[in-house]
Amino acid sequence: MNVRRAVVAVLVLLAPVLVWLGHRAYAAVTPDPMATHWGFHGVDGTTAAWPYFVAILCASGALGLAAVAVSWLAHSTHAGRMLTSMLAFGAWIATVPYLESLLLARHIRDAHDVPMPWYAVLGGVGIPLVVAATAYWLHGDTAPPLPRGPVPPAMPLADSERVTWIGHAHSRPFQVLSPLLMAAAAVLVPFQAHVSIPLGIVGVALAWTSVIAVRVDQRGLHTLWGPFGWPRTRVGLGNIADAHSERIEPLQWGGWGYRISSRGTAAVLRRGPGLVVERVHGPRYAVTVDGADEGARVLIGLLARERSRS
Amino acid sequence: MWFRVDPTSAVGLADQIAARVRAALLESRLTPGDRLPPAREVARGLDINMHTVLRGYAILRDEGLIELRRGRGARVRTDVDVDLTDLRQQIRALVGAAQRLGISREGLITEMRKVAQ
Repeated sequence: MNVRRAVVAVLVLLAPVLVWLGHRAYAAVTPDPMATHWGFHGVDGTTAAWPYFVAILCASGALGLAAVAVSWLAHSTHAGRMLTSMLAFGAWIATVPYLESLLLARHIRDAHDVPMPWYAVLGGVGIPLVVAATAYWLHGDTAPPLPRGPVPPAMPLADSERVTWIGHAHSRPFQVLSPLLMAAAAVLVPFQAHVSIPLGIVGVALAWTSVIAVRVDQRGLHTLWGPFGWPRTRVGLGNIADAHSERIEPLQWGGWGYRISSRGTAAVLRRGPGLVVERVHGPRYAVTVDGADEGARVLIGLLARERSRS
Repeated sequence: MWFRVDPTSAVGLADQIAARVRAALLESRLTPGDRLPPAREVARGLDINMHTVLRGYAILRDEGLIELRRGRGARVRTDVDVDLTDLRQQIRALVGAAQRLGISREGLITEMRKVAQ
């Protein structure tokens, strides 16, 4: 995996190197100021060549170095993989249009005569996208297996007994932030309606994802979102192969909220205890919930009883 | 927290639910101020009527262990006396044992008076 990350580093650091090489090769044969922006009717923006080169070199270099740093420091997380890919895109989206504007301006005296054909526009966006996708693929998901806690003993259950376990998880930052956003949205309505609506929507969305309830019963594992317990998802008991509790690190599951990552799907509200189930069909499922140990114990008890019956 | 009921038991479902909350209090799994799971969710999880769960919660309210407020759910009272709850639990067990031995209520009280003297 280290070789792959080294290739990612070469790929992203190639961007500032190309900026430098491009400037050296073509600065003498391109107009100064150079064409830096195009509208529907041709060039509508020019910039002094040397400061523009320095700005592009700094942007490309800084983004490239940031991509390398993130790739090496946060390599074990899905978020690290995503961020590396985005930074690689940033480094190359700074570089490719710059190189194109140099190549297209060769031996043209007036910057306003520099063309910008459609394929150059396509390449300007397409090449950085390909680089970002390559970095994402090369980086891989090198997350180490999480240390599992001791498997809790199954709750012994008689055939006639019914059992349920109910737990909750809260996100304190969301609980604080959502009323603030909603209040700000309400205050802004008379002045800035177009700002207040998205602000209000974000506030409601945060309130909705600030609390989660989890129920274990003979039908399986239920996850209930928001203050009204809706939407709700269920992993059927028959589709659960095993269950355990573990400490959930949001970044290892792709972040906060409902996440899909190479580790599995997860409902993550905070860092801390969570209930994890291995599904018979489908990816692993994790949900952050207080007292996950007890929940796992009940779930294992239900699974054991189900198996003893069949 | 977990709830467990046995519909085949001679003890009523509401009493079983109340007993589970008492036990959780004695084990310190529930502490003063804690919120009890919503009756609707407990009922769904156990496949029983919500009113049965509410009846269980009402028993606990009458014992002074929890407070029930419409729309705000059930909460363990902040002034709950866990020691007294423990004593009552033991008395309940004693009454049950006396019933199994065929000792009448008056007989049990007489026996207790003898021990207390």
